[in-house]
Amino acid sequence: MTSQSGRRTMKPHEERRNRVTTPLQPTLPAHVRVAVIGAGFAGIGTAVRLKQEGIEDFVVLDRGEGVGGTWRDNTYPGCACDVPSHLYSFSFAPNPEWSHSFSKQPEIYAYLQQTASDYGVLPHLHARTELEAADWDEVAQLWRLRTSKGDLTASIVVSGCGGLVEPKLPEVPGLSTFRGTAFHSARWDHTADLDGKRVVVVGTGASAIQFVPHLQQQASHLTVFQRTAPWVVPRRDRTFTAAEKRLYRRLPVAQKVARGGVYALREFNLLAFTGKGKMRALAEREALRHLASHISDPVLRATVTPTYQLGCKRVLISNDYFPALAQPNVTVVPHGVHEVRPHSVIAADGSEHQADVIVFGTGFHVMDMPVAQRITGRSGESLSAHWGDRPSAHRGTTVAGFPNLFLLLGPNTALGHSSVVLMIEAQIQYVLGAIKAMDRNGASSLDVRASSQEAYNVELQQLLSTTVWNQGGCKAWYTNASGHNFTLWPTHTFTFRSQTAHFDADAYELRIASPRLEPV
Amino acid sequence: MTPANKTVNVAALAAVLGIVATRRRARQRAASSPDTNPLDALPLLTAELRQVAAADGVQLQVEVSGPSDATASVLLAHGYVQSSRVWDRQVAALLAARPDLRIVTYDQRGHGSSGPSPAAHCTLDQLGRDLQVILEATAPTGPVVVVGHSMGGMTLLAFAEQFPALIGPRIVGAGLVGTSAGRLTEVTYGLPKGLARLVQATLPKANESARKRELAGKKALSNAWMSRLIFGKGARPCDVRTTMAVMARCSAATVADFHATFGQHSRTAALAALRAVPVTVLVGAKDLLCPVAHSRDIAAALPDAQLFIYPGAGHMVQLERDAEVSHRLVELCDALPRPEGRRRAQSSATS
Repeated sequence: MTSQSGRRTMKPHEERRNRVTTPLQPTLPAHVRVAVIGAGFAGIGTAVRLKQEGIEDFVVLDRGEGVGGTWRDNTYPGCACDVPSHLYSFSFAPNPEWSHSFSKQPEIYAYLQQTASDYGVLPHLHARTELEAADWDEVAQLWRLRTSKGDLTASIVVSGCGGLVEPKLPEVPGLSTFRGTAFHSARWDHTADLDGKRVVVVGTGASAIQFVPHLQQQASHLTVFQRTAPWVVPRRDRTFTAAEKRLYRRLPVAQKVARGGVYALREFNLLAFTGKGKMRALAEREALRHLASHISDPVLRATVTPTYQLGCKRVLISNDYFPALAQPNVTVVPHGVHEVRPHSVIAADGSEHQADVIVFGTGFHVMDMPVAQRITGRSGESLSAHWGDRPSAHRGTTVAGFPNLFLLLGPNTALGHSSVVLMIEAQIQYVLGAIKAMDRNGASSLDVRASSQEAYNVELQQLLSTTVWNQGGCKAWYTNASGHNFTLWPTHTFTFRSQTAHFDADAYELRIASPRLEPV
Repeated sequence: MTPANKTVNVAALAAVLGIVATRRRARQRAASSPDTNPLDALPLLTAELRQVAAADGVQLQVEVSGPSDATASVLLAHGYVQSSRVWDRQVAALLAARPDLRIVTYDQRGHGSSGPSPAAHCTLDQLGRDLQVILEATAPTGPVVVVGHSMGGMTLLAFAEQFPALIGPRIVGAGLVGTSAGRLTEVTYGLPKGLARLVQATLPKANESARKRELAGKKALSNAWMSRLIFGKGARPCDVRTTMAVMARCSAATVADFHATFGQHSRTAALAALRAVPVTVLVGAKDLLCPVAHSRDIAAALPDAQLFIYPGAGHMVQLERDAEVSHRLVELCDALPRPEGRRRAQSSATS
C-alpha cells in the first residue's frame, strides 16, 4: 500500500471528511517572512516549494475548514476536472492512484489534502482564518495583515486566491420572495431534497453541464435557463487499469511520460484558439456531430447550437449533458432570468416556469475578486481600485505600487487550453527567484517598475488580440465589459514557464535594508 | 586545402556570419523596442536662464524653474562630462508633482554652457564652493534639497565638507545618485583588475593627446564606446543619443583637467554632516563608474539613509530608471515639513 515515495497511497472514496486536515494552530505568530493566502492548489504548492527552499518562517491562511480551495468548496454532484489528471496535479507530487483520466472532485480534494499532509504543510496552516485587510507599511517595510483570528505582519504576501472562488449570483428581482430552496452550485445545499421536485437551473457553464445530468435523474421536471449555448465536445474519460496504476507506482517515469504526452497534445490544441481557424473548424465539426448524435429534436438542436466560434467561451467536455437535455422531463429556455416569484421563475421572454428549487450555475466573481479589495498598496489605494476594470500585473504576478506582493493566478494567467497548475508552479518559481534576489541584495522590498509592467502587458494584449477569446463573437468571463481580456494567457504554457523561470530583477526597484551585504 | 574542406569552411563561415547578423538584428530590435518615451515627448521646459559668476569669475549657466515664491528649492548637480540636460526628466517630474518648488539646475564649470575653468580650479573643492555660490544666488532663503549625480554627488560632499554648518539649517535633504565617497582609483569598470589599472594609467596620456588634437583644431576621436561604459542593458536609444551628444560637446580640456581630482576624492568623513538630514541614495546595479558598493558604503555611513538599487541599470540611472528616480526625489521633497500658509510667509521673506 505504499508508493515509491513512501507516502500512503490514496483511497479516493474513503471517508475524506474524517481525515485530520486542520491541526491545532492556536495563535497566529506576530510576524512571518511569508504569508500565503489561501490553501488551494496555489497555496499548498507555494508552501511546499518554500519548505523545499529551506524557508520555514511562513503561514498559510485559509478562511475555510482546511486545505482544498475551490476543490473543497465545490461539492455539487458530478463535479470533476476538465483537464486530465496527469496534468492537473503538481509536477513534484505525481499521483499513481488516479482512478480516471479526468478526476472527479472528491479525488482532487483528497489529493490536495494528502499532498499538504505529506509535504508538511499542515503545521503552517491556519484554517478558519480569513484575511480581512492587508496594508503595506512603507516605513516598516512590511505588510500589516488583519485576519478573523487576529493581526500579524509579513515581509512578503503571496496570494493564492484564484479567480474561481467567490460565487456570483445574478441580480434578479424577487429572489428573496422565492418560497423554495435556492443556492449556488459552489455552495451546494446537500440537505435540499431534489427528488421529484421541479428544479430550475440558471446557467449552462462548466459547472452546470456537470450537475444538470444528475438533476435530470432526480427532478420531476428540470428547466435549464441558457443565455448562450456552450460548445460541448465529448469527454474522453476512462478508468485507469490496475496494471497502469501499478506501472505508475513502480516506475514513476512512466507517469512522467504520460504527463508529457498529455502536455504536448494540449499545447498542440492551443492552435484551435490562436491559429487561423482550420483546427477550430475541425473541433466545431466534431462538437456539432456530438450534438446531433444525442439530440434529434430540430427545435432543441437549434436552441443548443452555439452561434459564436468555438473557444470564445470555455470549451466544455461532457458525454451526458446533451442526452440529459433530450429527456422528456427537461426544458431548455434560451433566455436569461427576468424575475423570480414565490413559486416560479420568469424568463426574459416573459414565460413562467414553476420551481421548487433554483440552482445557480452562474459562475464566479472573476474580475472583482474580493481579495483585491482587501489589499492596500504603497499609495493607500486598494488593488481593486487601482485596477478598475483592467486588472494587470507584471508576468501575471506583481503589480507596481504593491511591493512584496505576489499574485498567483493573477491577471492573464488563466488558460483556455491546459492545466493552470502548470501556471501556478511557474509563478511559484518566479516568487522563489524574487525572494532569492532580495536575499542576495539585502533588500527589504522590491517593487516592479510601472514601465516594465506596461511593456509586458502591451505585448501580451497584442498576442491576445487575434485569438478566438477576443475575436470569437461572444461575451465570456475572460473579458471585461469593453472586451479587454484580463484573464487568459495568450500562448503556450512553456512560454510563460520560460519567462518566469528566472526572476527578471531588471524590471524592479529594490529597497535595501542592510547596505553592507554585497550585491549580486 | 581540398575543395571539400574549402566548401565546409565557407559554409561554416557563412553560418557564423548568419548567426552574428541574426543576433545583431535581434539586438537592434531589442534596443529599438523600448524607445517609446523619447525626451522630445517631454513638455517644453520654460526655465529662466541666468549666469552666475563663481568666486574666480567663471560664468556658470543656471536654469531656474518654478514660482518666485517657492516654498522650497531643489538643486540638481550633474556629473563629469555632462550637463543640466541629464536632469530634464527629473525637472519635468518635480515640476509636475510639486508646482510649489523652485527647481535649479546648473552646468558645472567647463561643462555645458558654463565658461571654461582654469586647470588649477578643476577640483571637487572648487565645485563645492561653486555650489555654495549657486545656492546663494538662486535660493538665498528657504529650505533646499540638493541632488547630485556622480561628480555632482561628490560636489555635494565637498560642499558638506567645507560648509557643514549649512547642512540642516539650509540644506534639508540630499539625493546621492550613482556617486561615491572615495576609493575611485579602485574602480575596475567591469574589467579584470590588471587591465583596469592599465586603462587608468593610460587615461591621463589619452586625455592630453585629446587636448592637443582639440587645440590643433582636429576632430575629436569617437567616444561611441562610452555608451557601453555608462549605460546598462536596454537603455533607451534616445537617452544614449542625448547623453552622447552632451558628452561630445564637452571640451577635451575639461576632461583632462578634472581627471586628477577624482583620484584624490576621499570624503567619507564629510558624510557625517549629512546625518542631520534625510538622504536618499540611488544607484544602478550595473554602474561601472561608481559601483553599487560605493552607494552601499554611503548608506552604511548614514544609518537613516534610504538606499534603492536598480538591477540592470548603469551609471545614467536618472535616465535609465527616470520614473523611479523622479518618484524617489519627489518623495524626498514630500517628506520635508511644509508649514501652514507657507506661500505667503515665503513671499514676504524673499521680498
